[in-house]
Amino acid sequence: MSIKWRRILRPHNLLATAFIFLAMWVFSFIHIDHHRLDPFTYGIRDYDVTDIVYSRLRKTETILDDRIVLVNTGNPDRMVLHKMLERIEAAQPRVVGIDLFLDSEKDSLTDALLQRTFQKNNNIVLVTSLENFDEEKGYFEREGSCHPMFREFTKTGFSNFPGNRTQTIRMFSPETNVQNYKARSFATEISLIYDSTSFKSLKKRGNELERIHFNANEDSFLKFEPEVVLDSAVDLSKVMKDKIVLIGYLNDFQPDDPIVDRFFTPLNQKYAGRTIPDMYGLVLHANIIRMLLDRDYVNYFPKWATFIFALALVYANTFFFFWNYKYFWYFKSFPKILYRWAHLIQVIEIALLFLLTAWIFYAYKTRIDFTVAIVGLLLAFDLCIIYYYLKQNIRILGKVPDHFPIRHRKKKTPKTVQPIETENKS
Amino acid sequence: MKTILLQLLLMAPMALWSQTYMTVTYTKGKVHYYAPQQKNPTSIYPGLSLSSEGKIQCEPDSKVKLLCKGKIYEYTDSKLHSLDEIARQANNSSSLSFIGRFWNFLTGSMDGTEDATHLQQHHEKSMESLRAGIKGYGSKEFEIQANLMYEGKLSNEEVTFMWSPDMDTPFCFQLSRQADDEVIMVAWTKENYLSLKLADLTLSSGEAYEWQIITSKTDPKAPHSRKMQFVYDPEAAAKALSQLKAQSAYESASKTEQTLMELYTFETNSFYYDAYLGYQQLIGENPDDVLVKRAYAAFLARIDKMDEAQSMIK
Repeated sequence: MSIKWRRILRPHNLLATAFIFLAMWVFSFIHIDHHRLDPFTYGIRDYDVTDIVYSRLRKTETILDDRIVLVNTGNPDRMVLHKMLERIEAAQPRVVGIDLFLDSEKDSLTDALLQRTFQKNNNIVLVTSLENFDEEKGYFEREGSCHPMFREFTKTGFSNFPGNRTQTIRMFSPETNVQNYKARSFATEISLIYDSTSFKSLKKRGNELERIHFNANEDSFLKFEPEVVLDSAVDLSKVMKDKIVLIGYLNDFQPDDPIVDRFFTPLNQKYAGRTIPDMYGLVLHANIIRMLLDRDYVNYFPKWATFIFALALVYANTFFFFWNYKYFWYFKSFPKILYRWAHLIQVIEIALLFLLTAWIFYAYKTRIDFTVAIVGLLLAFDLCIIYYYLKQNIRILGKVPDHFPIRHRKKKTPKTVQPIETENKS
Repeated sequence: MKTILLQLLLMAPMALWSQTYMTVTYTKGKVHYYAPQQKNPTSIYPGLSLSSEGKIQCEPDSKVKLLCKGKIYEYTDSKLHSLDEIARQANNSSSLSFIGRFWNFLTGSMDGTEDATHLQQHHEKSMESLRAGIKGYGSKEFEIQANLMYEGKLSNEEVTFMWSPDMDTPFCFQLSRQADDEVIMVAWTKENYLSLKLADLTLSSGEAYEWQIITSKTDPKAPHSRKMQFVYDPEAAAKALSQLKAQSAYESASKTEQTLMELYTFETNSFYYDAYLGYQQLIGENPDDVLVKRAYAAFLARIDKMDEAQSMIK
């Protein structure tokens, strides 16, 4: 080991770092029941540092997506839906996605008409809901909320998102196991029909869950009300031909509107402690479809790289601790000053990590998970003190030298060069 | 002949560039579009592209969203809107910050009040752009004239409506809702002004209203004014001001500059009456301030009060 590395890599610093990581690993098994703190912890738990990028830093410019058209059904009525579908299909869209649960039979005539429309057109995707996840087997028991009489003639896609209605939606599952087959999500199925190559690139990534890149809100798509769709004076083929038409509940965000099919997303202006869901499910699906068609994915920094970064950061902190410990001990002012320093540095480092995460996400659309590094930083100084006392009381640790020994290389004895005897022929 | 043809060829693309197009992204209810030089309106729906030279009008309880240069503009009131307003807003907001726009505006006011000739030109230019947007403006066939400051948006609790000339005959002031022509109030007065507490009338926020002065209920040829349109919006002026006050440029400006920024905000948001009252107060507080006098003169020219504007720069 060169003298330079010997100065940086010190046995006790390495052991203290290992001790911190060991402690973190042990702590990961401890389950704390923080049920009583729920109202407080919920706000923090449902917060992601990248939310601020979507909420405050994203470009406010609205860019119209010319591939996706949204149609509001209002309070869904199957006869109106049938009439709307007839008008929409006449405009020859490439895919029609219906984000409404047609889970039961209603009026037989209306249902028959609707069924016939589905039968006539092979570009319709109906939404389903995955039910009863079997944790042992690792799959859902069934794909429900769509009556067999309708799904017989259509393609389907599930609309479930990881998490629940009260949580912020950041991820989606492209496909998942349902008993003996793989079910695709609503957005995945639609993008597959529209552009099969988009699905190939999604498959190539091989992620079980994908982070949604929110780059559009309701204003980024053309939005039709039922009366406009049903108005025979409106030429729908001008705006719907070869497009993706998404049909669903999409009201006007009026204060007295019921909160139906609405979700919390990172676009919410209130990025912590959200109270009112800000995006309709239909717009959420449109965002995913847009992301899939553009291959505009959110990338992840590799886990091994974040672990190495965390290791280096914790090591640097232990190095700083031991260096300071020695220095302040000399002036007999330990531990007051060191503690103040340590906690100030902890706060600064953690704040910088948050900023770095947000900036990398903003600039490179890459998510870095600094959780290990942050937890390591939070524990580093206190565990270093414990380690220091262990070192003083455990003999084996006490015997560990402060520096790696210098290996002296054996000096090679130079070979004596025998003078070449030359014959003096002269 | 060749020169004329060449000029025409060069001017054609310029004319095209001067037009801005916007896309209808959402409609609810009935929204009408008046294409340039066409009398009959057409209903619009999402996906249509509209020229900035046209106008739109929403029927009651209707709504339209237009996308122009990356920004969404929404209309819900039943007033006739010139799309040129949106194009101008979009052009300004896309290229300049608030402070940049404000200084441009102030520079324009100073240039326009250099002397009587410049003032006249400033007035003509403003009237030209107004004619494109306001129905019936500029026709001198009306014997009774009311000032432009009673158009746009009114947010004041009390407004004094004035008209000219003062005549010996009594005037009948009629206020009606634009959407269905329902008469809200009728008042006969001997004076050429009438103070009204708008807050006491049954006016709905965001709705368009019309007022007109007539001198006889039976004789249509009797002296009368054109119908003046305004949108009653009691909270909008305060809202616009609060948005302005959040700007760092406003906070760091001097008191007079702050007031000028407020008046500029009123004017660009169509609160001409508020702007007029504000300028009067400002000139009362700073009677010798050349900047204030010239800014006021330019404003008066823009609202067609040329006599007062000319006396201000003398």
